[in-house]
Amino acid sequence: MKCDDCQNFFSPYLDGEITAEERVGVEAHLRSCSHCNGEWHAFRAAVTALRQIPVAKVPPGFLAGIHDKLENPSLTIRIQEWLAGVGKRQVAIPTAFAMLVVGFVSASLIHFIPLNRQQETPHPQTANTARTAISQPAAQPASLLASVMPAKDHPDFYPGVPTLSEYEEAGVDSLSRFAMLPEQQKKQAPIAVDFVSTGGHNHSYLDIPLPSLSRYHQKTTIHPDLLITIHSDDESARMGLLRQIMQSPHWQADIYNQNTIILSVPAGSFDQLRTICCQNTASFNPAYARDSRYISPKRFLTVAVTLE
Amino acid sequence: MDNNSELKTETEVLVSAFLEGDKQAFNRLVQLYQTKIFNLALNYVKNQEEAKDLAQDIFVTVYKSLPGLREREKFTSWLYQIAINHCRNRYKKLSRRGYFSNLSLDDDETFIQIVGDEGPEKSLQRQNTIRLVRAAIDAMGEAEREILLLRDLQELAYEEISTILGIPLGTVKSKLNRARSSLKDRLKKNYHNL
Repeated sequence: MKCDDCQNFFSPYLDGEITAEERVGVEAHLRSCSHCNGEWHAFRAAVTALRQIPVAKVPPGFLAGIHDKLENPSLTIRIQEWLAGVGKRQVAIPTAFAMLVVGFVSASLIHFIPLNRQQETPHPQTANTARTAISQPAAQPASLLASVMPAKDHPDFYPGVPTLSEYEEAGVDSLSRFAMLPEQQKKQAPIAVDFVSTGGHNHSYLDIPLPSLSRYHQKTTIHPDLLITIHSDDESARMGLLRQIMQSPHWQADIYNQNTIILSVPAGSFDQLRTICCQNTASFNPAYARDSRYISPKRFLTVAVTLE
Repeated sequence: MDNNSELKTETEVLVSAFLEGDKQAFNRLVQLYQTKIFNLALNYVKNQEEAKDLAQDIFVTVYKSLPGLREREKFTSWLYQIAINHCRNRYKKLSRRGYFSNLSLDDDETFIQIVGDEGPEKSLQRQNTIRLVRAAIDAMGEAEREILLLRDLQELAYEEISTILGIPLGTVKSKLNRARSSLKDRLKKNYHNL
């Protein structure tokens, strides 16, 4: 037996996991080879030292801790169990995915239902409001806006959204990015006029050189998300405020009538509008929109700013 | 009948009882194996609290998976397979967090509990030997360390190690021989008694 062969047998020789023939060969080699004999003693001493490592005692409360974990599994354990069960849920995952797709398609369809319905037949309530509004004097725009805020029994799926489209259909191209109807269909959609500006009022605050003022004599009913009324006796302050709002790059502004501006404000820019309006005495409808913690669920807010 | 045979027989009875609905049998199984599993965990994570948590997690897995055990007589190998998997995972997780680099070598005393009535000089010498052996084991590769723990500290048979690690019996023999030789070479450098 060679030295390498002999040393390969050290471990089974020590554990008695060796045949009688191999044992004879190893022992014969160890007697004749001092080097291997020295290695063998070192080998045995190392294993003996290893086996001397004492056994640690189990800490108290070990079993109780196991039952505690069984009764109240940690989040990690729950995730591990869920992952371990993934194989069993192989059928469930495609089903869940299919349901997600169906849900998404359904939501998309529902999103367009109010618009389509509006195209086919004009909403009776809107039409009535529009007819009433035509007879309203131009001096009461704020109350008019307030009266057309979405009612609880409004049958529209998304109160406010269809009427924004109506607003565009009346020819206000400045909010065209909100258009939810194809151009061709827009032309067929009925125009519900609720207010006609007579112009030439002595106390109009919008007789400032704004480019598009003369174009908007006819407006449809709109349902703003928010109504901000500015109460200020200082005319120069009001003019300054109007300029600030009209010229801001953060939102899109349009004139509704002599005293009212309609704004399309990205939700992220609403804070700036609130700050501008609060420089003057302003009231908010709904009132909680004044709170700086107010966060709109919509991406864009339709805001009516009216000067009292 | 030797201790191992008694343990094996009792284990089979307890496993059968548990599978037939006797939940108390599990508590007895824990009592039988908790010291071995706790020490195995301790050799991986080197901290009492961490080892306790790890060993408890192992038994929680055993409790939940036991109804799926097909060969009741192979409970011990099955238990160690679960334990080794848990230990490896926890070791990797702790290593990624830099846990072991923050662990001082002086903390060895926290998990080496030497009990006995030997004199202070002998006790000191023994502690020094253990420290050297531990340092040598820690410096070894994971596979070598694992096979040494299973054979020389857990005192498992070659066949059981073969089942637990999923390697042929011949490979167990050769790997164990290599691991022990490696330990011998490492200790030779620092331990004059070898």
